[in-house]
Amino acid sequence: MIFSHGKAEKETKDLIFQHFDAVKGAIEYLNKMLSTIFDNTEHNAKECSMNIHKKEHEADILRRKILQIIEKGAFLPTMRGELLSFVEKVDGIADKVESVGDYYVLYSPLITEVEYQKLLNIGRISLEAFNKLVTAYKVLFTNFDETLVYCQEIEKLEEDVDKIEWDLKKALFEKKEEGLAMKILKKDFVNSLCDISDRIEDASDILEIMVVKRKI
Amino acid sequence: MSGIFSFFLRIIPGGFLGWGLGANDTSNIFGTAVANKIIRFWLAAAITSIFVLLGSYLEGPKTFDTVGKLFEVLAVNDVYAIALGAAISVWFFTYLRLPISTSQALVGSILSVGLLKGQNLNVARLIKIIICWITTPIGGFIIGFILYIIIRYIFSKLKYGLNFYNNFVRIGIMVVGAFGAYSLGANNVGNVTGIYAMQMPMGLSPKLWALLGGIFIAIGVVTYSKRVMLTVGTKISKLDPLMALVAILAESITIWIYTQLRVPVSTSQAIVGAVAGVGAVKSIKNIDFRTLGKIGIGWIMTPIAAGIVTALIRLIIRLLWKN
Repeated sequence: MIFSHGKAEKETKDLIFQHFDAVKGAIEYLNKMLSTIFDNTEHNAKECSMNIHKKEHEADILRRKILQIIEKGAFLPTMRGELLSFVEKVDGIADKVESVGDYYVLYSPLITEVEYQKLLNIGRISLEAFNKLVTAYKVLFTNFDETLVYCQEIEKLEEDVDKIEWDLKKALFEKKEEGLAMKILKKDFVNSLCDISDRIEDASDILEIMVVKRKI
Repeated sequence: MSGIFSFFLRIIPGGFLGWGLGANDTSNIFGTAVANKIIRFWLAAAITSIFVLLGSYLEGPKTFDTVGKLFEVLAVNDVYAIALGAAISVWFFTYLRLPISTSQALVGSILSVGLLKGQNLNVARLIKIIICWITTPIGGFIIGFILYIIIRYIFSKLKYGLNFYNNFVRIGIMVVGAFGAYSLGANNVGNVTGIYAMQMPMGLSPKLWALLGGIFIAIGVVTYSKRVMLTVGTKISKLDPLMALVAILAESITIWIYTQLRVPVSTSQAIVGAVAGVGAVKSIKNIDFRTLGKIGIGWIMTPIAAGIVTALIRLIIRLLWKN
């Protein structure tokens, strides 16, 4: 390393990693919730939902700390706004995870075995995309080119989620035996679940912009 | 005692000019960085003051005779009128938020007094000065353009991320700022005390006059530049930090080159040229032709306005002291 880091920068970077951990924790609890759908225990879902709430709250506290430290003058001025938007977007992922968890607990849509596998797949891909987002952020500080590679991979994963979403909804509305109310309930649940990967992609877009603006 | 009093009385206009220069022109060096909290004001002020003094003392006398000897001999009261006229003009135009160059105001003041007295003007020297004025923004443009192409090439060969980028900009701002302050002191101190050193040295060597001028500039930096930096510091912020850094370096190199040519020039006009040059690498649309036009008007209007003000002051002095 040719140059040393500022204290405020290091603190901000560490806090952002902690924020990532909190959001990732929320996604993991959501995936756990999805995987226990056929355990048929309301208790499991509620417990996961409560844990998601805790992680989301943790992420909120960290987000506020990050805002304060950046406002005090960490990083170059042109970067501050971009980093703040990035943190806001990442925080939005946790918000979405929380609302998906709440939705499931409140409305308990009746999921079939086929749908269950697809939902699990969406959850798995979302987590994979989020892990890539964390890595993209990590390498942002050392290698812009690598960041762009991770951002492209996130985009591909988001496309995969879109395909599954399409198939799920198509199959759902082709089914004759299910009532319209349940179909709408499930469609909204799928929409919400797929929004998670959309938000991950939105956050990665900010990283991409940060790189493109600085690549000379 | 009366000797010391008389000395201070005589150098007040020069001190005022130096103070204004320190308060205003240093914003071109650290303005963006301070206004955007990249570095603290006191660090910027300390770097600027130290390097302005260094530049003034080591290279300042180089520009003394160019402006100070436009006319061979001037009377003490004339020197006083010139320094006061230039200082008031600079202050007045700055107050009206009109762009003014200290170098051009001073030349206007000197020409006014010398021509009114019917003294022989060193035409070759004046032509050299005018050519340098015109080529200052052009020089800033060319150097900014070339430097940015070089930096762009180097960065395209590097694998780097935000750590390198941020630290490069942060450290670069301090190093380039120090060089900018050095160049400012070396080049512009001639405007502050050059005419004293050449026309009424009062027993002081040119080096000491240069140091004194540097002190006046440094006082302006410490006492008033923060306000100016915060007000005008965003002037070149439309550039990204790296482009701004290159623009400041280009300005500093330009000013330093003119110091070697022994002509004090405008730092504000050099930075405008440099900003345009750096911007032109990306697109010709980045050039602010209105600002460039204002510079052109300034070449004519500034000396005329300062000349009129100085002529009035000289008239008042003559009426008061029957000189």
